[in-house]
Amino acid sequence: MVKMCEALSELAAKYDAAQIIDFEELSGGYQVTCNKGKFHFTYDYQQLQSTQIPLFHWQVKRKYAEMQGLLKAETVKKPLAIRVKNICPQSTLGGGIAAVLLREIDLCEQLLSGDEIIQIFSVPHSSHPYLNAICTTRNGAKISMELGISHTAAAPVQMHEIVCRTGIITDVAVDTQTEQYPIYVYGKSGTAVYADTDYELYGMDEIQRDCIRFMLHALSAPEQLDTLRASAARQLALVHLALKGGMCS
Amino acid sequence: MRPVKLAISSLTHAHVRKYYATLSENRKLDWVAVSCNDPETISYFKTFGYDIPMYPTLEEMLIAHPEIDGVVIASSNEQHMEEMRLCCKYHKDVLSMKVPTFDEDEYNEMIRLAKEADIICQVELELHYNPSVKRLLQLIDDKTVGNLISFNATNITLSPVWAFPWQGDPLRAYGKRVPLKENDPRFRGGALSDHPHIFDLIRWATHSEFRYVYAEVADNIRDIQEEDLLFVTGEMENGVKFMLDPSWSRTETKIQRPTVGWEVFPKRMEVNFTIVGDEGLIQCDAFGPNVYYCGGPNDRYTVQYTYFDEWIGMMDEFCECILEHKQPKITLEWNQNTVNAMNACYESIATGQPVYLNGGEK
Repeated sequence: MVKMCEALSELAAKYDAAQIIDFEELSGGYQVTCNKGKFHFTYDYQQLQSTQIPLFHWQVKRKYAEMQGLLKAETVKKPLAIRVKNICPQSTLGGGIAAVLLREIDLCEQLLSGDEIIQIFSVPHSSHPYLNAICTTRNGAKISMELGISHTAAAPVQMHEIVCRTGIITDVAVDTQTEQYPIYVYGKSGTAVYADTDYELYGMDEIQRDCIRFMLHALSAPEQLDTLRASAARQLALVHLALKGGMCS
Repeated sequence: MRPVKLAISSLTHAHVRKYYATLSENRKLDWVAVSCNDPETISYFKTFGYDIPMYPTLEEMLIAHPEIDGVVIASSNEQHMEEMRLCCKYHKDVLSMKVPTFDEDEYNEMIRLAKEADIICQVELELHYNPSVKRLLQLIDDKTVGNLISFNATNITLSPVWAFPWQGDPLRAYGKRVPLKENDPRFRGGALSDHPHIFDLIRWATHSEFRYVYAEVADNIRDIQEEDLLFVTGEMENGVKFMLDPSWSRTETKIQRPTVGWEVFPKRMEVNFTIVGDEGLIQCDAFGPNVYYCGGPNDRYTVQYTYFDEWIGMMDEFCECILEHKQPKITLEWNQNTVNAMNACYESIATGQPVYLNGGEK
């Protein structure tokens, strides 16, 4: 916690985002008090209130920004479909299958530069946190989703593959099925992996890093937060409908 | 803390675009001016849209802007000595490109001048600010895989010679035209000269210096004047063995400006390590994983680099050193043994024999 506070304060000062006065960990989120006001970031998305900021930390993940950038730069053009797989251990931030679905809906809309998902046909499992779905965006792109919480999985199985008229963009390397890491240690006690990808936030875990980057981004442009809240509310409504199964829009 | 006022000289180095981005984004920095006398480079610089004053020579820039604290010497290797002299004359701190010079006398002269002028001189070895490399060095220091047996590393890239022609010119890349070996039409100054990082990092990882190096070159992939494919092996003074690959073995399109579609092999640059210890093994990819695409302009499968921010940490350190007038991690003095080892590799290629360093004996 102290580490998160220090890191956010340092980066907010370095990049002129805000002057942090206080940083508090709350149940389901964080409260940041700074020269721009008081900001309540929450990852308890089910209880999202109008004054809170949904902590959509995946939005600032570099790999997704790069994927989106390839579309924006028209290196690959005309997205037609996305294949999504996210079968993961329970997140340290909690939230269950609803949080996974919300994340992937928001992420796909982000990758497609705001093309909103307007229809979902979902097939949820009745007794396990698992759901398959086919989504349709306003511009007609189709998205297949394989989502679940696996209590036995040690690492997430994740994939985002954007299929376009002129090519493919993916976060999974060809001929690999699982997430890759920068470092593998094959030692006496088995294999350990390390995923240090942010020098400024070296030593912090991935979720902490993403949360700090997200808060930094939000504090840099607080005027955009109303749009984020409205978007999250719309997506949440869709999530609640999709969890019931069948067609919803 | 006041912002540090920086300038860039020459604009010809392959890394210079990274400096444009870092200097324009980092609030700790005030990018004051640039100097360049090459019309083509000037017009390319203008396409980026930075509103930065430009001067035809480094000296004119330094005279016009006495407020400059430090200069990023971004010139071709053969110009470094002259630019270092000027920076010392005007007492400007220096960020030197990764090889200050291959000439031993020049190198000693640089050290002397910098000391007399009491300037900070940091050598750009940006992999120290790569988070995976930082973790790797920590894992080695913590003896996660026990005592080191071998340090094996690649620093393999595409060849920059088409986009940065000075790197294909032995005189400009190595400082003089030195034949690679007898009955070989090639000269020093190619892939080896471009890739000092692994020769530096092995010294940090092993806390030891080179005992000897042995290097061999293959026939070239490209029709160029310098070496582009070679392997280096040998031993550190503490007994750790090594295998280093500093080649230009990734293939490229012969384009004049680095841009999308430059690479033919999907990944344009790989710095990978295999660290063998007596209790295990570490595999490290300093630039991975990434995202991948097949798309324009050549419909090739391509790696889109996702984590490549070494310049942020490096410039932070340079600024801190300027403000506090303290020496950086990678000084001219530290870097000299790295350059000596690279020169020893050239000597080994020329003689076909291992070359012993630091007074080492066979």
